[in-house]
Amino acid sequence: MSERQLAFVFDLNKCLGCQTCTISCKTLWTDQPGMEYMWWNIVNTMPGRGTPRDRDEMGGGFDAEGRARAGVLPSAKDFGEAWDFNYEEVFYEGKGQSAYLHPRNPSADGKDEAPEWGPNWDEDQGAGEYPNSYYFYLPTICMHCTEPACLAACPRTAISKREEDGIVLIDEDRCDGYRFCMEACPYKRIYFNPDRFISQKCVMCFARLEEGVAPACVRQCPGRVRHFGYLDDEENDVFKLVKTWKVAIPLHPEFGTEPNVYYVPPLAPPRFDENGEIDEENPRIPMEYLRSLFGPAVDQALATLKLEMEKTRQGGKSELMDILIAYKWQNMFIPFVEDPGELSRPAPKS
Amino acid sequence: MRVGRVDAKDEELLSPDSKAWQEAPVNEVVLSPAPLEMQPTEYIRVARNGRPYGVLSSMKVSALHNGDSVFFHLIWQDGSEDGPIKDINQFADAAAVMFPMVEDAPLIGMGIKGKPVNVWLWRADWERPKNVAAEGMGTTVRRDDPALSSAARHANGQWDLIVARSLNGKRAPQGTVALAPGTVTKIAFAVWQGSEQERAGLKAFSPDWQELELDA
Ligand code: SF4
Ligand code: SF4
Repeated sequence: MSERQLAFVFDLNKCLGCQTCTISCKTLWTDQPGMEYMWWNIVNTMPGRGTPRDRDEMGGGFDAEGRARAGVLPSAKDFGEAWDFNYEEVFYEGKGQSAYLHPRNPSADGKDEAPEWGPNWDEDQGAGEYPNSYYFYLPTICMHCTEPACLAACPRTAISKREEDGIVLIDEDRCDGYRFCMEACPYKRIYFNPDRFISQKCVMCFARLEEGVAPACVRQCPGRVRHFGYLDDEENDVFKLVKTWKVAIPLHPEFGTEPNVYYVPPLAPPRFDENGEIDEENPRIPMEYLRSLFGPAVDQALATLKLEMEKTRQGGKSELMDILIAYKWQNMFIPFVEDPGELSRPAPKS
Repeated sequence: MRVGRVDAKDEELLSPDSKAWQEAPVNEVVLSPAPLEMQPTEYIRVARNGRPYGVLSSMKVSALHNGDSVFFHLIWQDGSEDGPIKDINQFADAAAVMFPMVEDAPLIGMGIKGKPVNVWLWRADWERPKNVAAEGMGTTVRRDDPALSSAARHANGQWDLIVARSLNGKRAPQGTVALAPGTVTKIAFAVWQGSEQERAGLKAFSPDWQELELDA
């Protein structure tokens, strides 16, 4: 455990699945050779298999007694390889009118085969039968865990957790590419760079934080989904949502790493019964499913959300609803409110 | 283990089928899995408990020098050739020779603070072996060393590997063992099978130092 901890709250009731967060991270951090298939931030449709596929069945983390659990080392195929596109054909071979631009399976050795898998492949499939079908979006990043399984697994002590803010970082000079961290991380948020032969993951935009700027995924989110700040800062949204209101809870608490991304669980429209009548008693997203993701705390979190929503419907005021609505978006990540466009910065290298 | 002196060019000694190697005495080196309880993290101990590694039980080793360079010829069984990886869950085959830097440097754990070891590490996806200095597990520092070279071939389910290094100590990376004709030191061996996801401490190794005697 570190002296202080920076944490995120992602409000799943507001996430649009637009992947702006994903792209903001991609352009800032993972646009170099060897990183093509990396998505340090990824948003998946749930219920779904996740990225990498079936990640919840890949083990890692700790058991109830705090003992390490064996995990699987995912393949690039599991994550979804970077597709290649027939740009040549469409743009340079005079077939602009006859050929259409499409992705090709990178494992097909240049053959024009359709890809079989990719990140967020099962987008918007969800579950349930019409008219009671349902799904929601689940963004994940490295959770900068209080007890990082990745750090504990590394035989080279290449991974550290910073005392001042709890950021978990991989030292690229110490990393020998053994990938035990990737096996041990229960959220499967570490990627391997085959060009540099090192493991890489979300760095919480630490270089921006040091300039007072919020992480890119937080600042760029058009849905006002992402609250960010110190977990012990009582004035901050994160503290209020996690500690005071207890409506933001960790994903898979049973993995035992004490993650520092917290989620406001999803509410759904009510079910329709056999007669087509609204059935207020049974939730459309089965509670069993939500408990399998967020543990038993999800019941109370949803109950609190419903209660406070009802208050505002009756014309009352709710501090919780005001925080979640996020009237002023810069308030979502106090004190990291600097505008990166206004910082003085060195001239770009020519 | 004796390192015989021969009058042969480097090129000949880097060729596994050459006359010099046909005539060199062969030593059988017994290997065993590096013990589970010696693995440096709980994760590795749990993950490989019941999932065998380091099952290779022996390898053949010959050693020669020509006054300028020393050559170790290692032959071991490995049904799958694992060179440059094609996916991120794959690992390359590897082998290493290790020398103590001081008389009583411990083999198990790869040295200890103040009692370093020197490793020449070959990996099937590297152009040349790397020179590794270690003072205990997790302390290894890998350096490029132009004085190291190798020749490797995988055929009929076995690796034929020659690892060579100039005996000239000049400009050697920090922590390089000084081998000289007419001296005696010690040596140990290790092998990693990439197909079994062996890496780091997950390996077959020779658990005891062998005496290494270089002909004058
Ligand atoms: S989410 Fe995974 S990579 Fe990130 S700190 Fe936790 S165990 Fe480590
Ligand atoms: S978290 Fe924000 S940016 Fe990311 S997908 Fe959801 S709405 Fe879009």
